[in-house]
Amino acid sequence: MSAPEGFADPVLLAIVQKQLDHISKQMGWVMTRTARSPIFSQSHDFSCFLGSRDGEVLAQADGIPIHTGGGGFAIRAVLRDFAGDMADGDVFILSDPYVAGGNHLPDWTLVRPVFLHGALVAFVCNRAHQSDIGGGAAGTYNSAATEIFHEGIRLPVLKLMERGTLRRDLWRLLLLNTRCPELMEGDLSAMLGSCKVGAERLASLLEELGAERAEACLAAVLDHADRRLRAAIAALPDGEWVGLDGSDTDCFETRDIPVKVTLTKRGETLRFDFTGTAPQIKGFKNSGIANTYSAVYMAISSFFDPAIPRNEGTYRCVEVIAPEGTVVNPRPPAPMTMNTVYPAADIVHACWKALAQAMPERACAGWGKTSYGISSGPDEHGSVFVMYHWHGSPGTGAVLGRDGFHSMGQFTTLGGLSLPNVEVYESLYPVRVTQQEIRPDSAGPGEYRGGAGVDYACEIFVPTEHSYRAEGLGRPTGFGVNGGDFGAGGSFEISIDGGPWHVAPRYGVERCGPMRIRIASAGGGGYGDPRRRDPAAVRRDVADGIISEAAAQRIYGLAAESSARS
Amino acid sequence: MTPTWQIGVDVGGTFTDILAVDPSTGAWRVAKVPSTPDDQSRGVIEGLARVDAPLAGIAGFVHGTTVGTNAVLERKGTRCGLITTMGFRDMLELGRRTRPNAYGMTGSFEAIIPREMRLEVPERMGAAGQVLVPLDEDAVRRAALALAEAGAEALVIHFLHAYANPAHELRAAEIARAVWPNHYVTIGHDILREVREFERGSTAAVNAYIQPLMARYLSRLSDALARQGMPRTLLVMQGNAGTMTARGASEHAAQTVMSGPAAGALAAARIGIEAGMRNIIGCDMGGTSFDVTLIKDGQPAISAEKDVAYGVPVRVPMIDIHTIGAGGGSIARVNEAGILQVGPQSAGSRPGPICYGRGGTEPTVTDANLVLGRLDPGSMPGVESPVPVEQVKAAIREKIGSKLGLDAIAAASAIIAVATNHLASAIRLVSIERGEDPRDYALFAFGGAGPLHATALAAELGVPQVLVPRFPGATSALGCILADLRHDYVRTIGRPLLEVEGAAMDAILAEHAAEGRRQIEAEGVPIEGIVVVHEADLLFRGQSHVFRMPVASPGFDPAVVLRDFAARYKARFDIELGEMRSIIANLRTTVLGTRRKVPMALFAPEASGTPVPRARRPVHFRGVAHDTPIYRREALPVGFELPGPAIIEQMDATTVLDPGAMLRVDAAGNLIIAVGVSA
Repeated sequence: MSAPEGFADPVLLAIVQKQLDHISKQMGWVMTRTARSPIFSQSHDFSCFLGSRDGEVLAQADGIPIHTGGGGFAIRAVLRDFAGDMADGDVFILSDPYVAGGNHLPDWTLVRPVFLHGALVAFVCNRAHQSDIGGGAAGTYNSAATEIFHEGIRLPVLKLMERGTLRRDLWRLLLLNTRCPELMEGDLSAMLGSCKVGAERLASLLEELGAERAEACLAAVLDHADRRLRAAIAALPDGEWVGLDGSDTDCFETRDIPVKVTLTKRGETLRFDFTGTAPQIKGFKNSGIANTYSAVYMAISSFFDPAIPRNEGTYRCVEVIAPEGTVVNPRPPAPMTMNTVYPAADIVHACWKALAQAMPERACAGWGKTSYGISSGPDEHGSVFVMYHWHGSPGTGAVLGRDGFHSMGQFTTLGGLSLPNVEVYESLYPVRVTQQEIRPDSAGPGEYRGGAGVDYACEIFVPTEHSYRAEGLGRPTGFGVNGGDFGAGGSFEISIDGGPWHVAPRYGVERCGPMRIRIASAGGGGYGDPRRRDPAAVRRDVADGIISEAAAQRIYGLAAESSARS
Repeated sequence: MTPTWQIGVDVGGTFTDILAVDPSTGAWRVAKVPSTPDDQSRGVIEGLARVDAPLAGIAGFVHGTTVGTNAVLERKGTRCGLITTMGFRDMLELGRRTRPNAYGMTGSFEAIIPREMRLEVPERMGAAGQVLVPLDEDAVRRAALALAEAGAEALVIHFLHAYANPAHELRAAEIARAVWPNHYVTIGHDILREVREFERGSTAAVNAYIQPLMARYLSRLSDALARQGMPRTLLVMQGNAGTMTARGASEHAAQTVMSGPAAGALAAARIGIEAGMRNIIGCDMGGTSFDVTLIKDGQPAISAEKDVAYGVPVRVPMIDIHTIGAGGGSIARVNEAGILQVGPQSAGSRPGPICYGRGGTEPTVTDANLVLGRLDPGSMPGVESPVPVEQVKAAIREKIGSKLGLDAIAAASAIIAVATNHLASAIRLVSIERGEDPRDYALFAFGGAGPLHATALAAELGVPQVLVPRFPGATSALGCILADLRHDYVRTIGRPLLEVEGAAMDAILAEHAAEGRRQIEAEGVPIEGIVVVHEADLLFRGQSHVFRMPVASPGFDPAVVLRDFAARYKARFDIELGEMRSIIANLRTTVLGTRRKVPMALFAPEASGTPVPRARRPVHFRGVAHDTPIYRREALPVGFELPGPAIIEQMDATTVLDPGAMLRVDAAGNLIIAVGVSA
């Protein structure tokens, strides 16, 4: 989609852009207030976005970045499978990353076409992480999976609603394939409601503009974003840089899984070439192509000026080369449910490292990688509960002018996820959190230091199935930049049935009796030489117990007497 | 002298507005004086002198204030200490693990209680209120002493699940009070008896953080007023648009957050009702911010929580005011890709818009209004040495016009169009998110800049009518005069609705009502009666956003409540969740002590006859210059009708009447504008 020559109404463009963002936010608002699962209503693990009639993401103001960046793949899959067979009131559902433009199986995407005077003009979409989709482990994360078939039901592009009428047969099939049918029913209803509101609002906006002007405006929204990123890229020197990150486990054994990117900048374009990245792996940390694009887009959006709009026009000047058969573009039936976290974080880190060489002052230090798992088991009502231990989240990296945030949570949400209160968890689930406290000396040293990890401890009173997903353990993962250093690596220990503490498995699913969990989460990396840190800030960190007296002297060069608490 | 005067005072960041009304004679006076941030009571006393109301004749004095809000925003509150449950001293800093800005690596957060001032003690309650770890009383004593030693002036005691069983918090407070050097001890469950430790703790921390400042300020002001002979108790506005005594406000300081804007919303609601418009959207636009409030059937919407600043939620019932950073001072820029953007940066009042002549160089919304002829270059309130219009025009042409290929007038029009759209988005957000269509409402425009933009804004939204009150700039002060005494109570229940006993619910609600009556009686303020309203927060199992609705008590019947809930939910979200189990999350009670009503007709203008324009000048609307009459507001008599275009000027605001719109002065002196289709 491209704007006709001579479309130059910057005022109208600014207005339309705001309204599109607003519609996606409104969809999200409906979702948070009507959804059943805490994962939506409390934590916002869903995203609402709008697409052009050609399937390009137009607005993604609501939700979390790793969901929406590759959202266009889903709409384009709908267009591919149902072109010419779409009507007002239809709603499509999909999830499969191999055939349907999905990012990973738990994220179900509803796509609703929007019509104006009988012609297809746009799409509204809601992508949301379901509580359970069957598969080998409750709660969607089967870390023992070696094939996508072990990860739950696969949805190609399906017509869930036909001209406003729900397909009850299909609805029953979906609810039959989850351990939490009651939650799913409520959540899918909320998703449908949010798409309905979005479609109505978008149709009325486009109607007001008139068909011709609407088309020109939507095209101009994409073109505008394109121009903005090109202008930012043009400010970088031409060149080629390599960024390398990765993991040390394939979920079954310890081995090196490099994610390597070669960034080439020419004029107003960027090319991210993942040649040299590890072959696809046995475990569920392979990234489907949509997810890989999302991760690259996320690295770009967070690196450049945040005022640059984010839609698919933004990335027209970005080329991604993801060789088939690697962890960034696997062949079926490689499993991949973990991909929105890993290798997504590895991909973003690798891209940041390459970008930082092109423009060091915008460098982003690495975020500590996560190590928390998921418990699932029967609650007091006999339903299955699914609890993420994300209060044990790692710290974030620093940037020029700002320390990292403590325990900010999952990397690929960029803080878009908000964690539930412990009191709410303890009211809903048979658990008790006994500690969530800043972990001393875990923050990566720097002129701007990284965010600290936390010491997290939790007791689980009933037998559960625990899905381990630990990445940021042992070796540090939150790298420093421009002279800053790594944040501390993490640790993860468990005690089952009152037995002794021992190191938890990195990945895998275990049936456990009542258990206790103890996580020391990783810290984020620092920016710049720690010896240049403002001594007042160092003293404050010492007083606050974020860094020890010894570290203040050894790493930050604070004189012994000056760090004493005043 | 029989006290008859009612005084309302709104202390803002720049100006202090005072309105004095004597309902027995119909006399009223209004004044605007510069605020005195170092000691706001000076500005208040100065303003009082200006309205010339005899202090001995004051029957009621209500004060809206931003002391608390600003202390949080600027992190200038008192030094506090926190004693909390072992393992959780960082909960107020870690929060819900969100970030100020999602994509950019920007924004920062500073906890209002620094980490070194947060101490833990062994104790633990379970979610059902059962004691899991007994309170270590010695540890509490040691922690209190250590915090006092470290310079804390106020103390917060906040334990997990204290809403379910407050025994540990109460005992800890008793121990701490014995060693604490003053009475600034805030207890979490006492401020808010509701589940969610972050929001409850944050509310308690804000209370402690601003309490000593509020207490000192209010006692200074009370003393000054008493010395000058005021016979009555000073009342303070709360964020819920009710009032309480200065003493109560010193105890429950968190309740005063957002009290100024809340007073404005209250006044808007009352003026609307008397003007026969029960559904209105309050639009308060000043120099830096735009506050929007939805008022349905004469009642401003109430929200349970507001982030005073990023990461600092205050969870007390407040008038639901949505604020965006858009005002007369918002700066217009053309970005690298050639798109015009207005805000969020603001020139504030220093340096301010270019036309203020205080060194501002960036074109603002006010500058655009000036260039278009909507503001009078000769009379800008508080501007000593204005910059010539030609110079402002040149700046807009250079900084905006040249980049968009527009002349100065077209560029200024574009700035207004983008700004208007931005304001409209805020209104859409507030109305549509509540399932309300803005076209079913009237806009109530106030604040210095509200009436400048309201007609265009209404046209953009399809809103048929605009109401501009008699004193757009003093609406919050008027709200103070209209406010009733008010106290809110909440208790978390957290059980399936059909499992609770109606009698037990009745008992809790009755306890609330009794406490409210006791409070109001103890305040010793003349009132006409007491009104009690009961509500419940309900949700379906697994959800976390509650749905609030009125309930009957005594006679609370879970089955009736459930039926009502399902019906309201369906009406609101068009979703039936009938089979899912509903939970009663909280019970709430509001107790009002109603004050004597001041009739709005008091403010009707005295003018008569046919007014003559004070001047005429060309004003640009949609790119066309119209020869436009300029009227003084005071000159417009009741019943007067005027077609647009026209400009109406008064001391505290300028009203723009677009071509195609029609203005009428109603019996209370409000300007009622029919927006018209062609506007």
